[in-house]
Amino acid sequence: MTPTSNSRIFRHLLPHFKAQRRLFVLGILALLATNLVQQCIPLLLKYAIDGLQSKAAITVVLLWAGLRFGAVAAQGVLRYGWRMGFFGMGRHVEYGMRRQLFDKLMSLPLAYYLRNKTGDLLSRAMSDLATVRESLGFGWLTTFDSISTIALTIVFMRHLDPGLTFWCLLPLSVLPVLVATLGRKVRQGTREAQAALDDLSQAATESFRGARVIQAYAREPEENGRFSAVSRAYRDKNMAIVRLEALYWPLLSVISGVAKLMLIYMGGTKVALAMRGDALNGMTLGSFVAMYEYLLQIIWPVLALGFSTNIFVRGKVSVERLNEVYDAESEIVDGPGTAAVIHGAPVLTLRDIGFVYPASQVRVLDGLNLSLKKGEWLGLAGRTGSGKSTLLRLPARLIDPSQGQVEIEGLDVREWRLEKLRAYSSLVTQEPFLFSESILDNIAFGAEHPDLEMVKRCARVADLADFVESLPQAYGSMLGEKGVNLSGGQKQRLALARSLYMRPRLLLLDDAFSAVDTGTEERIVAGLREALPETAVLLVSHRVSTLGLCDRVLVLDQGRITEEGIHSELMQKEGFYFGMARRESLARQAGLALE
Amino acid sequence: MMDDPNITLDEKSLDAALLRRLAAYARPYRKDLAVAAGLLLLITLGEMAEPYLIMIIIDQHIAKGDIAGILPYAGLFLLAMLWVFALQTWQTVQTRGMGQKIMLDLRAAIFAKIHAQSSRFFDKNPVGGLMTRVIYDVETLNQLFTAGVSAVFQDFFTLVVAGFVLMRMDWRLGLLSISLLPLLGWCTLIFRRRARENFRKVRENT
Repeated sequence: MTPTSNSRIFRHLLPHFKAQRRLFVLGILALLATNLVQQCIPLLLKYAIDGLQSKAAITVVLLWAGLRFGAVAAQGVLRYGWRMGFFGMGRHVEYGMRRQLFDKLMSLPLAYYLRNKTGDLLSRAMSDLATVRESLGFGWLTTFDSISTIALTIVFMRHLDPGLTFWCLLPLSVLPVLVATLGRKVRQGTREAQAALDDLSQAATESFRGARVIQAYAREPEENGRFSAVSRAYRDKNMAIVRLEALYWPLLSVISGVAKLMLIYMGGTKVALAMRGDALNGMTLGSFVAMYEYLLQIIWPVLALGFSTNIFVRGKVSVERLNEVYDAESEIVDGPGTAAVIHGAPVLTLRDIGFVYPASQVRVLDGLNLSLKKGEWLGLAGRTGSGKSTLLRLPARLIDPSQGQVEIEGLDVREWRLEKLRAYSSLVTQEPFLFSESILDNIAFGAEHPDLEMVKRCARVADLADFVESLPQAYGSMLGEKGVNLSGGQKQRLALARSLYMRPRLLLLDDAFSAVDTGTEERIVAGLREALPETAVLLVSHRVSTLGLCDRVLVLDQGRITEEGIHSELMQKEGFYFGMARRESLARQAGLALE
Repeated sequence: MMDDPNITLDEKSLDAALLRRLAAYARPYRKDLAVAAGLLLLITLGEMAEPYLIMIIIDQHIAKGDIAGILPYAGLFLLAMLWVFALQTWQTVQTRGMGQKIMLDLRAAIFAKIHAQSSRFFDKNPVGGLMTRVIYDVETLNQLFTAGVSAVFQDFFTLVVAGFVLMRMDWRLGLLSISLLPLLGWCTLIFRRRARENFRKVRENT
């Protein structure tokens, strides 16, 4: 891997990493100090043993023993230091990267969310970031720890006996290679097992979703058999990993055992020689025990060197997956915001608008023109897929048209700063998304200091105030799983209150009253006209009773305007609008008849 | 987590209840468990032989300058290593294989049980929650089973065998070495309680 390509891969990570360099340096220093103390421990042991053997004064032996104890205590403190340094650094970097990821996700256009599954984005935000944290904290820790321990231990061991050091470390040299190779195979197996687990959860989900159908057709035995087959496939993948891992650890301990054996046999012979009086070729018992301790403490770092390569490989894959999100192009970019709006220009003007969905190449808007004045209510009708909802997504630039021009107050929307543009208009959809927070926070969405009086006014206009004020905690009531469950109509009215709180100049209602009864709807519209007399409203509906409250109605068909006018004019044309009205009144009569 | 009924139970009785429940799940696999325990005992004996052999080599041969006497014991040391290697490989495949078998049976049983429920059951329980039970909770149970069972047996055997050897070699030094164990146990207990509290906090915030 060339350095330039690496710096490209880690370019989003690097600034976060640099911000934590103090913790990183603290970690490295504490770690090096720990290892240096660690190296002294076997030597202290050697002096104590050799002192005992040479019948030195008991106080001297006790001093060495006391020092050894002190060294272990010092290690405890230093260990806390490097844990805080490395792991703390990992956590902080993860936090910074997650915030950056969240900001990026918030800036991406609607189209991005149509292309990418929420589950996949969630897994990047959670598990990939966790992997990055681990490979930073644990990966760097292991690398620094291994290299410094190995280097120091070799220095100390050579000081005791260079020849013996060579023979003991020879078997250990295969360990990092073995760890990296077997580790790769285990990882490959784990990926396959993970895929099999996904299949299994998919099979369970589908089966439970269709439980009623399965029961109705008495297909339970077949269903159980099918599930068992997927379950067995998953078991087999897991067993493949088990067979690898069953060899892995025992093999590693045999290899390190061979190194121990070398020391015991060769070192033991030397000590025996010294016992016979051959001081030239022999070694003291203290040196022998110290060598043994050094050998024991070098085994783990050698293994860890193999692990750390695996950790970094995994971390790099996750970083690349995250980069895909960080680098996602936002096709909708901020305008300069320098040009001024034209006074007296219509609130919204659409000129020759065409829109083709990029994925399906379906044309939903085709040369559309319209203009909307201050305080004007314009209704939009048309059958499903006629382009109504697409049209409502143009003013706030949730999407950009494939052709033509969208103007707000005479200024092309691409000239506007996005923040201002999106505060200008407000979109309420048929199935609004509400947050699991209090009603107050949902209405005053995003406001740091919600204005309760304003919230109450908005709720009153949306005809929601009586209901909310009847709740024990009123506006402080929580929504969602652990709180109040709202009906479909109440959700729609809450979403309307939320958009009123923004005091938009342009209100876009996408079938936003579909679950509200006609009487309530009329009250809301009257209230809206009174509360926001200057706001222009673009309203999509499938109900003539709703559209009839508008100043003007357009009928869309295949992305073109086919009918236009006030309610009474359209009723005379006997077109789509007239058909809608007739079906509705028939349905109402049928309903009355049933009652 | 206010609506979690378990939270009002004190932790000890919860642990005991959980263990009893787990033991009930394990009952059909008594034979496999016995084999696993037997293998772990044999492995521990092999592992304990290594330091014991080193003691013999140092005390009876190295200290006495007996070079020729080292080799046979080095050979025994190698044999002990190979013994542990073979048994450990076997034990891993055996215990984890048992875990997989338990998961397979458990999943099949839960799956069949869910499909035998009335339609009201499916109204009350979201599909996602059911799926989690069948797939991921069983997975966690398996981890607890294989890792937990191995660790408990192995730690227990090591404690017993090592304690026995220590006492036989020098009961005073032996007693001194294990005198710190109660303190260690106490530290572990404190740590476990704190760690559990913090894990719960982390889980509530993700």
